[in-house]
Amino acid sequence: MIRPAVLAACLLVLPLPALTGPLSGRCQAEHAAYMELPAEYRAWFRNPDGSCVQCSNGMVGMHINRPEWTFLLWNTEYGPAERGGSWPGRVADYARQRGMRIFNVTGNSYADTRPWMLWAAQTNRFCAIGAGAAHFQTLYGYVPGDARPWKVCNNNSTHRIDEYTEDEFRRLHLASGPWVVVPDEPTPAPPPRLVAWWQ
Amino acid sequence: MKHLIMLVCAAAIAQDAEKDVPGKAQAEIARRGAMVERVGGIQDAGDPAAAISAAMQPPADDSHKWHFTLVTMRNCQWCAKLRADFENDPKLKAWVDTKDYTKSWAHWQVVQIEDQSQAWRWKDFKPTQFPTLIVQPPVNGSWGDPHTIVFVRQGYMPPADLDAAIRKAIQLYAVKVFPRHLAWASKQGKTEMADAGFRSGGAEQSGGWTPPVTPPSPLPPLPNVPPQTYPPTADPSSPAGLTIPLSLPSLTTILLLLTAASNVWMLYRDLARQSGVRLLIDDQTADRIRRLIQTLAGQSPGPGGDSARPPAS
Repeated sequence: MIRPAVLAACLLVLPLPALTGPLSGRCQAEHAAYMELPAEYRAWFRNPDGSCVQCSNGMVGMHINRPEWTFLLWNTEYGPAERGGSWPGRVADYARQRGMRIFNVTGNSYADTRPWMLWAAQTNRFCAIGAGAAHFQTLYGYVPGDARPWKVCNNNSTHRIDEYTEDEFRRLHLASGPWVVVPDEPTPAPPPRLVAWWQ
Repeated sequence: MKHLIMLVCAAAIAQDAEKDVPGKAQAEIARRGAMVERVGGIQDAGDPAAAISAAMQPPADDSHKWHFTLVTMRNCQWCAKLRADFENDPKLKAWVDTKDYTKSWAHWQVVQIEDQSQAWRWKDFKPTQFPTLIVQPPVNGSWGDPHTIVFVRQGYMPPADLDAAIRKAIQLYAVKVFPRHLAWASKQGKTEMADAGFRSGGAEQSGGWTPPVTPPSPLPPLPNVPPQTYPPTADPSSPAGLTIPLSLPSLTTILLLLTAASNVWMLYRDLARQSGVRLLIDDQTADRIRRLIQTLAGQSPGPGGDSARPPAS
């Protein structure tokens, strides 16, 4: 049996990269992940005029701390307000103009876009997704093992988070077409909290 | 008249067709098929190589990386200096690659304290001196709750000291949570979800053309900061890494306390004089000491000083 002191000493001499662990493959470790935006902040992105793609991307921007994304709906120094309907080409254009780094992912089926949504959720980036007929929403959380693992925030009802089973989510996503916009940006940290771990 | 109504209807339908995800979007998705277009911001404009037309797997999972968050404020020279340190100093570059997150050991974020779109982040801990560096564990839960502040430094610290302090804090923390890390490794994917983030309520407020808050100005390009000598730490024997439990009051705080003490001292002298108590220091010397303290308090230095005051909201 290894004594705690020996274990501690071994750990102290470990090179720090070892702390990242060997589990750095492609989403092998499924864990619960969710945004923590309070409802009053989500309300910024209530769909005003058929701008669901920008609303969804804006909410993602607030989560990942990227004002280029957050302020898509309004005229600011990051660019003019982007309003109305959107398609992959339009999103790519305004992303270029504003300096937003994105993966603009389209597919033939759910199997093409699902790994991206899972990656976005597991890495705490989250993403804007096709969800519902001619509609875009924000992927807000993913909880493996939950009966309704997919958590989605609809920009027509930002006060609540909708939950879907795998099958419901697949149908919801495909109703709009397999298209997702994923941040190609570093992950944000969750809101920091002082915990007396040293005691 | 009939034609006019038909024209208005047609215009309305055409307008509706341009809302949300219109039919042409679905046609474009179908035409694109399985495709990932990587739009890399302004840099890739006009670069055909930037568009990757082949179906692509998502990048490697990076949820195992730690988090470094630098909180800055406007017009803070020490904030710019620390940002520059992270870009240029080899010791700090070993922790984060500020340009390419895929090459970085930890995720790197710079948050401006004035940015009201990020105010929700500070619900549990709000920095009060700038720059503030916060280190948190990975979001995959492999090293405990990712909300936990493993290391925080409020105020500037020279790169070598900061590097050592970060290392020490992470190592101490890793020792402390190692049993939890082992448990995590043995049962991945069974984490329970807390209910945070699923609160309801709140006002609905989008719609206008003016944003709910003024966005933060883009971070200015880093200036060429000349080498500056930072005042040495007050107590070199104290472990720099654990600034959470062991932080000392800033120089400004000390000077303000001294000013207050000198005012009390002058009051005591007045009372003593009235009561006929003999004073040890004559009035001229006492006044000189008081003025010196006040002058020093009026010119406190950058980190932890004037530039470290929280913004007026």
